[in-house]
Amino acid sequence: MIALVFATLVAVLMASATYLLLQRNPVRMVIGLGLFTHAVNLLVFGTSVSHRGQPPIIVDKAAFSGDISQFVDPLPQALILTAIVISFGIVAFLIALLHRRNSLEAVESCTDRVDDPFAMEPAAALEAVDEDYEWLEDVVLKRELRKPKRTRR
Amino acid sequence: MLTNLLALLAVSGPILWLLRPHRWRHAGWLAAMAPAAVTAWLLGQLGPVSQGIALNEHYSWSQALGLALDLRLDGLGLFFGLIIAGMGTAIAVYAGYYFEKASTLGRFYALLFLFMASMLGLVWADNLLALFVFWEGTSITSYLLISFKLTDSNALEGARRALVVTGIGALAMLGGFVLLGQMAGTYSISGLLALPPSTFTGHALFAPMLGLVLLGAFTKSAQFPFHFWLPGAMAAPTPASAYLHSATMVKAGVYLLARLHPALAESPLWFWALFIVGGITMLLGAVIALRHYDLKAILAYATVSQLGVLVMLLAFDVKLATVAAAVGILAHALYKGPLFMVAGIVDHATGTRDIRKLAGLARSLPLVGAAAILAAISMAGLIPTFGFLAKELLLENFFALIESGQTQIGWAGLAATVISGALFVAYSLIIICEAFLRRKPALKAAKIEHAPSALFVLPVLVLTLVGAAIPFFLTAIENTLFAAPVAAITAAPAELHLALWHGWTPIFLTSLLAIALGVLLFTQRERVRKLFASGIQVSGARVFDGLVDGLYGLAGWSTRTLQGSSFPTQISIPLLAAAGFVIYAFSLNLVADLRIDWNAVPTFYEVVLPTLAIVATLAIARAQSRLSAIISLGLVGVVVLLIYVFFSAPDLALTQFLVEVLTLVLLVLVFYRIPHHAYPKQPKHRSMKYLLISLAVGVWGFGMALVAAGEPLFPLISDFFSLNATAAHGGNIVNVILVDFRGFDTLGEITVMVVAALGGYALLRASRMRPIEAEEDFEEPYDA
Repeated sequence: MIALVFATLVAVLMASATYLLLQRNPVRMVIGLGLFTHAVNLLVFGTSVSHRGQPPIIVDKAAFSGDISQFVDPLPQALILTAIVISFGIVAFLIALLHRRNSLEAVESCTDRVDDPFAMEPAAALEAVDEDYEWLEDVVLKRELRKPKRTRR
Repeated sequence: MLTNLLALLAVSGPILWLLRPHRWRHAGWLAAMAPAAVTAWLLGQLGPVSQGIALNEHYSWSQALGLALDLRLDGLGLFFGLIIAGMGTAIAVYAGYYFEKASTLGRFYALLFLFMASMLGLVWADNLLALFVFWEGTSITSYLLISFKLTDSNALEGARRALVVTGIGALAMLGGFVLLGQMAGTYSISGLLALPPSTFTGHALFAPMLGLVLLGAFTKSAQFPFHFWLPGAMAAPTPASAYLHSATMVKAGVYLLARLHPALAESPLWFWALFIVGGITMLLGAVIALRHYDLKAILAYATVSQLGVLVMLLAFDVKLATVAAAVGILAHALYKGPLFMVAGIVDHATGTRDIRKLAGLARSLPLVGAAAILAAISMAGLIPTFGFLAKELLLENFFALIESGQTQIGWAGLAATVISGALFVAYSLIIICEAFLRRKPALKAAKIEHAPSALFVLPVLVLTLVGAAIPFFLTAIENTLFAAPVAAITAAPAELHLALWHGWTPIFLTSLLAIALGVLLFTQRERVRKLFASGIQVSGARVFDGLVDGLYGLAGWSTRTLQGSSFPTQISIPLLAAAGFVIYAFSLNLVADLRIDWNAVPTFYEVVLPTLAIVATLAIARAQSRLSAIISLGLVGVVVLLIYVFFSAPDLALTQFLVEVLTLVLLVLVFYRIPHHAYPKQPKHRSMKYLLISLAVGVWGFGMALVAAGEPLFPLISDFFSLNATAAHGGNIVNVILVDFRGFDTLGEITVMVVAALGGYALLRASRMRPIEAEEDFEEPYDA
């Protein structure tokens, strides 16, 4: 039963995280990444939930008899601990990246991108991709129009 | 001593390069000293080795890994070693005059001697893996020698083709070697050959192993359908062509077949593969050679044909065929090498190798003409040359087969030999008559602008004369020179009785028939050429280039498709692929195998909390304002934290708490500064697509979580950590794992954090700077 509860939670987290990652709004993408982290951590944690037990801490080292069945599995915890910290690093870096992008006056337009080195016909390949970036141009243009009114912090 | 010789060659090449040999007119003689010393030493070993005493050398490198350099000089290794070092001496002298004052001579010597060292290592190696390393050494030096003229695009293409074809073959061969080593339990070649052949032929993986090893041998020795790389390799400087691509490197495949002959030749698979491939190569090479006018191209295809003959001979597990192969290898080296060298001299003197533009060279270059005619007679197999002896033995083998009852194979081989023999005679005559004897060329004659010095021709003459003399001293040398390699190939002591003249036997009559047919072909050569020219020309090189281009195309297409588009598409593909696998696994009814403990009932809180997290998650997805989304994310984080608390993971809960707070602070801080943009709504169909992808990923997560919750399928290492935590002086097992057992992982984690912190710091610093207004400062370069 507990497996089902965990699986449902992981499934909902992953689906929502993917949906957010696929969005245009960078805020949503960052939040999606955070949710994905939770989902994956819970997935790994799920390996140790069916056997309940004490936290894996030996209180009295001298009296420790070698009876480890009282503890829950410590390995997933060690893995997740590393994962939490690393994913925090990535999210923090992403946030800094967003901040930087925002602070630039002009967002690079998509035509400035380096050409795809594998494209047989560079122009045609770019056109196909451009469709995905049209919205970005809109954003940039609107911002250009608003420029005089905006006050810089 | 063997290692010293290899080192001598490997070192003397680069030293020669440093000496800048092109400054001296006779630098070739200096260069030839190293290979000459090797040859002299090897000649001294002829006595003991022909008595069956092999020289073993063992240099241990890494004992723990079982890596060692094992060299072994036995009959076969000595035979090949003599050809390599002896030809190498002649080529070293020849190259000195061929390059004249060209400053590339030093580089050529460096590569040539490195090649020589790899090639000798190849034939002396007593370990399959060492053999592979030397094998690749010859491929790489061959590549560098073919592409020696860096401005010639033909040479570069030919070199690439040669490298790719032989490289693919060598990789397959390495796979075959590993299988072979696994079957034998040793990688030592002599150890492997000491085992009974049934160890290999009876093994379940014999066929794949044989296929892989043969692929390596066939690509190296330019067997059909890989023969096309060899003519392309003729873009190399002629000394390299004469040495690598006729006398030595292309015989590496033949050497490998001969080396493994005792272990593998019992199998019918071996016989048919070698017989058919060798036979096709023999005929195909001989036929294509007639189509060409370039001296080197004719010789290249003739080489392909001769290699086919050798491979075909090694198909048989009888002594006679082995003798024929050994004689054929030496005879071929001693006539084809000089012929290539003659082609180089002719090219050097007249500026062309097109036989339509050549005539009467025997009069203007008498020494060259004499050498060329002698060598070409041997190639044609006319009595009393070394080539004749080789062909007699070849025919004798097939007659013996017919007598012993294998009539079909015997007649097929005989017919193929007669046809290819006739073609050999035809183009030998073409070379002799058209280039050297006739008075008027077919096209505008090329003048001799630059007559070669006698010393330039000397190595050619010496090789040719050695080849011409050998048949007359057969009784003196047959048991020292040929018996030992034959014994090594058949794995039985051999005593030979070779003779040039057996009387008017059917063998000799067949030989005469081939010669007569050849003369007929020669007189009708214009018609034959026209016939071949009108035929369909399937060029292996073109097919190969098509394949390579296709591979590039495929790489380009897959990169464009998988990674050439927007971010959502790029991440969708791997996510969907992962989801697809899990959904497929579930369709196989793996759920029953999950071994989930369905009785583990959650407490009331453990149901309420996840429900809360699910609601919060859905709230994020539908959130209209950023702040509510961030708060909902925090809520999910808190639930996860509480789950860690409920399931006895206090360390995780603490860390999660800290990280959650920091993330929230960061998010609010930064997004407060970023102005809100109204992003346009996705089109309806795209929203639907993304929703479906998300659902698939959700199913993936669900499946993975169920798999994770099941009982482990294999023993876990966790118990080891738990039991030994006190030994690491720690009570908190999770902490002990992180800082002690898996300390390097933690080091990696810290590195990631440092990199992220540095990157983030740089980005935040950069945001204080004003961006450069590139557009406005830009000046129009031309007037409108």
